[in-house]
Amino acid sequence: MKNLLYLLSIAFLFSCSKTDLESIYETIYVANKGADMPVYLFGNQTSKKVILVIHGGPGGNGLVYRTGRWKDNLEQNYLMAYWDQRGQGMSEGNYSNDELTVDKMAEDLYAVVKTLKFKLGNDTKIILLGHSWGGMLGTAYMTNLKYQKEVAGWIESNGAHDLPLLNKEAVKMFISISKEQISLDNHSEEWSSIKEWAEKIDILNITNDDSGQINEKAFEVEDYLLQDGILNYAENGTWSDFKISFFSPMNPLTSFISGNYTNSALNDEVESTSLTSQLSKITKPCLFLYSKYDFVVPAALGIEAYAKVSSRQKKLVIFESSGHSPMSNEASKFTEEVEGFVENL
Amino acid sequence: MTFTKTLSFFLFFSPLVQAQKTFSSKPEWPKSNYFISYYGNLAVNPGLNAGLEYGISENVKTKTRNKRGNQTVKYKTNRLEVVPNLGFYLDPKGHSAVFEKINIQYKRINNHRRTFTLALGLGYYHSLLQNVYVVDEDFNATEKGLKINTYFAPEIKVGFVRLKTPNQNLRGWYSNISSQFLFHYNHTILPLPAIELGYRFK
Repeated sequence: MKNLLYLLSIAFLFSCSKTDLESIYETIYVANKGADMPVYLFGNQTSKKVILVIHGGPGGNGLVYRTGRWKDNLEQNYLMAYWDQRGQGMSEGNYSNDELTVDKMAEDLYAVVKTLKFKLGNDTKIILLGHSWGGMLGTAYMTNLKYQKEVAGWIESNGAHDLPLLNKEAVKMFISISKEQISLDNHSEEWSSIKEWAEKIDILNITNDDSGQINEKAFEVEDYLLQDGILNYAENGTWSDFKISFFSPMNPLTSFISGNYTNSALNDEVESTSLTSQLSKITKPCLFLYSKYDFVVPAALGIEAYAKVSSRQKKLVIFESSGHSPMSNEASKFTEEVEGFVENL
Repeated sequence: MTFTKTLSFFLFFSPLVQAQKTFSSKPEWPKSNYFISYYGNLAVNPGLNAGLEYGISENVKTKTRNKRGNQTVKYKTNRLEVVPNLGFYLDPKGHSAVFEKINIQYKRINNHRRTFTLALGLGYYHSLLQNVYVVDEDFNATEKGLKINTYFAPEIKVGFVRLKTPNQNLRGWYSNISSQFLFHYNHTILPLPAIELGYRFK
C-alpha cells in the first residue's frame, strides 16, 4: 500500500509539473444554444484590446494557434482570446446536426464577443483574427451589421470566404506555379504531374471530390516549396508544440475526433458558400494577410476582399515566402503587421 | 520522458517481471477485491478510479496430464464479476470530470497466473465546467459559474497482468486500457480513452 501511494504521488507530480498552465490567465466557457465553448484568455489584461482568434478547419481548435513565436509579442501587449468553435476543440454540450451551420457559428461568435464585453467591460475593443476557415466564419460575422458593430476591426489571414472562387484560383495557381517551378528545375517530376492533374480539372464545374483533391495537393506542394527554399521553415519551437498538444487543457484526441465529425457535417455548406458579394457590407477597419504561395487559399481572395470592402481603413499584405500559415513561415513580419493594425484602432 | 518511460513500463512490462510459477494446488479466489488506480485521461489529466470487484460466477477447470511418467495438473479460472466503481480526473484550466459505472467483468486466469480481463459497463460521465457564461435570447451574458454536463457513457476496458505467487488471491498491481463513449456529446458520440495503473487488494 505504501508503494502504491508512492507511485500515485509520482504520477500526479509528473502529470502536473511540466505543464503550460501557469501562463494561462483564464479559461471561460460561453454557453449558447446547446454548445459550451471554451475561450482561453492569455496575455495583457490591462490593454483593453482583445484579439479574438477564429481558428481554421472546420475541425481545428483555438490553442493550436498558441504554437510558434508569432503570438509572443501580441500576448505581451494585448489580451489574446483563443476560442474553440461549436463541435471543435474542447467544446461540448448537446445539439442536433441542424444546428451546425455557418450562420449558427457566426451567432456563437457574437455570443463570445458579447460575453467578453460583459466580462472585460463595454469599452474593450475586440479585434477578430480569422485564419483559413476562420476567414469564412469571420466574414459571415462581419457581413451581419448587428454583429459587426460590436467589434473594432477585422483581420483576415488566408481566409476562405468564397470556396467556389478559391477552388478556381487554386487550379490556376497550380498551373502557373508548376510552370515556374519546372523552369527552375525544382521538383520537376512532381510539379509536372501536378500540372497534368490541374489541367484536367474543369474550372467551370469543380466537384466536391475535386475540391478535396485541391486541398490535399495544396499541402503537398507546400512541402516541395519548403524543401526548395521558396518558403521559410516554420518559426515554431517543437517543445512548445508538444506542450500544447499534451500538457494543455486541449486533449488532441478529443479535438481530432470532434473536429472530424464537425468537418463532415459542415462540408456541403462550406463548399458552396460564397461571401464575396456581401463584402461591401464591411465598413470596419480591415487587414488582409495572404501569401504568395498559399494554394489552400490563394491570395486572389485577399486581393478581391481588399477591393470589395467598404472600409476606409484597410490594408493588404502578401507574404512572399509563406504558404497557408504566414504566422509560422514569416512569424516576425506577421506579428508586426497585426501589431501595427491593432495599435492604430 | 521519464513519465512516458514509467507509463510504458507499467503498461507493457509489469506482467513480465512477476515470478513465473504455476499453481501448486487448486486456487481458491476470494469473493471480492477492492481496487484503486491512477486514471489518466489521455495520461496528462490525472485522476483516480476506485471500486469493488465482486465475483458472481466462477469456474476453475482442472486438467491432469501424464507426460513421460510425470503427472502435471493445470488450473484455469473463468470468473464473472460485477464491478461498481467511481472515478474522476482533474484539469483545473479546462474541464474536470466525475464518473460512476457498473461493469460486468470477465476474468480469465491461466495456469501461469496470467490474467486477462475484459469489462463492459454502463454509467454516467459528468463534465464539470467552471467560469461558464450563459447568453440569453437577446445575447445578454450572465455569469453562471459551474455547469455540469452529464453524458450517458458506456465503457470498455481491457487488461493483462500476471498475478504474484504464492498468494491465492488477486492482490497486486495491474494496468488497463479503457475507453468511455460519451453519448450525445455535441452532435455525436465521443470515445474517451484512458489508462489505469492500479492496485488490487482484499
